[in-house]
Amino acid sequence: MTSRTNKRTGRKKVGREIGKILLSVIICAAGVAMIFPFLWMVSASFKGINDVFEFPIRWIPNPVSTKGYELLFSGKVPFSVFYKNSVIVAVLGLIGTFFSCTLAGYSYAKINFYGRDKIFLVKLSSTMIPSMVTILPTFMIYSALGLVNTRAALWIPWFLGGAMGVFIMRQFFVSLPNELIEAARIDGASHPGIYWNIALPSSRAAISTLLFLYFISIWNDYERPLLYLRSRELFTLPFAVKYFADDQFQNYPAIMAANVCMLIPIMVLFFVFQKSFVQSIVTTGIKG
Amino acid sequence: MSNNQHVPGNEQRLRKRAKPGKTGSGLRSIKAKENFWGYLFILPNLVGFFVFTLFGIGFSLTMSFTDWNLIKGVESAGFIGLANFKSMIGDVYLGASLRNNLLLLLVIPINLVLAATLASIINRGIYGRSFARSLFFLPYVTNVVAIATVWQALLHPTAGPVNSFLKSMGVSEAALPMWLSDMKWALPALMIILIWKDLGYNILMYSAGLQNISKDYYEAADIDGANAFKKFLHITVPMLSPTTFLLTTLGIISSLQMWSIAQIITNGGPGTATYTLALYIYRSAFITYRTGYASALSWLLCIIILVITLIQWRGQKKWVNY
Repeated sequence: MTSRTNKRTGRKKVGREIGKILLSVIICAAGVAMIFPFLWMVSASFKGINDVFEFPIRWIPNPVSTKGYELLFSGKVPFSVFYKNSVIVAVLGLIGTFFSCTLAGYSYAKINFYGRDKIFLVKLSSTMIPSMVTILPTFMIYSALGLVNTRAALWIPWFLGGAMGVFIMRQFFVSLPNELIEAARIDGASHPGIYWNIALPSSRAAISTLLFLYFISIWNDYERPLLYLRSRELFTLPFAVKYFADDQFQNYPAIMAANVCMLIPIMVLFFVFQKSFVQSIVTTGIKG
Repeated sequence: MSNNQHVPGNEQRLRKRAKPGKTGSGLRSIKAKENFWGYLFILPNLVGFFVFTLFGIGFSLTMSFTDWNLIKGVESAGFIGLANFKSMIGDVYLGASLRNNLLLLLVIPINLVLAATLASIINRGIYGRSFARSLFFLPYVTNVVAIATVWQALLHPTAGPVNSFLKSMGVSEAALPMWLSDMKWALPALMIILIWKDLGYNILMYSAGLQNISKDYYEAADIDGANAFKKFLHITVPMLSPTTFLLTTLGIISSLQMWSIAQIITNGGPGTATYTLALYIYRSAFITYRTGYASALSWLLCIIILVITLIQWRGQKKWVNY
């Protein structure tokens, strides 16, 4: 805070600088308070069962115990299986997202087909229907197709193009100059060619943001496994961790170790993609 | 689509093709091609829409008038008219859910006030701005299972760090809240967790809103001798009203649909202390197998959301002011 009565700019500058440092310290303290649960989680994952709730909190465990992590990979269905399931679902889900969202986005932006804008509007407004309305019919369709208790139930939905992803890609493709596409068409290129050779290469940044956003949703998906999966060998991480947590009742180091393993990919990608991710959240207003 | 290319040969060729007018086969084939590729590209999208959204809506609406039981199958479902909707009246679980949903909306104003304050401080230019922002944002990208299990440990009634801290501050053993296993404290605990989870998202949206406010306003206010608080109240708050409006709308809609975090962390308990409408729908459909009733409840949720959306559309002009 600057002093209002002081008119000498020199002193004012110093005051402003001190204020800035003070505010920075306050905000960073608040930020650290925000990630307190994460810090506690990591610290607890390396503690013995009896040390977890030591108070005052000993942040650096002494002695360091890796029993929690060992337990994860020693069970009848080890954690590596859940990890593998999550990776399979994420890779397939992302392939689906990539094609469904970029193709539809390109079409809504650059192909003049009959009824385009109306269809797009209907598609967008369908996001207003709460998922609770369609959750049962969707379940019935999946069970009629024999997809209950299969991995496919987790990745197939992503091949249909989520409204938000289609919206992001459409907004991006709209900004591609029409002249570029017209020129290619006059040279005899067809839409698939333009999509593949012009639209996609020029939208690498948008696509990487899209894939990151969807990676978070797919990796964090808890509801679909809850509804569709029965056999433990098929569980993906969030559901497996929940199951593990119920199973390992109050074995907090092991539960926290499972959380750490589950969160690592997200955290790494978050810090890598942070900037473009933040940008896209702001422009699309995605609310998870 | 206009053809403004100045390549003489091409222009001629196009003109020749386009000349016969709307009945010409050339133009028609261009149009047919556009339609073909256009629809082919959005085919997965259309399948999703027709099968899962449109059919889903019809199916769910039909089933809401039946006594469908998920285990017994669709065939055994019998038409029971409005019975499902009638039995909503006086349903204590539904009453508790709606009450909790209403209380959970309190999260939104608290969150927005915190977020607007923090965002405007962060935006004034502090050191480590993007670092601070990402710290606040971290809970938002974390999944609900990790959030739930970590907070269950933090709020552990006897040994958890939160209660240990309260104890060290002199709170007597008997007065310590049992948090998630306490009838009175379970919902407030859930609210704290939800505020913590969404704060970063709101800060981010407010930061973007703040960057759109012209510095001229603040300079003019400086000349008039306004202090920082007055500037915040009379410039920042009104200029942020579109963002506030958007965040309130999104907040209400997602708050009403929230169920998985409540399912993991307390499963609605203790008693009905943390039941929400969406969680009750999930439980009716998949746990207690009153599936027809669940369909009816989902329409109640849908109608509530549509009404709120309509009110907000109407109110947008009135409440958003620069």
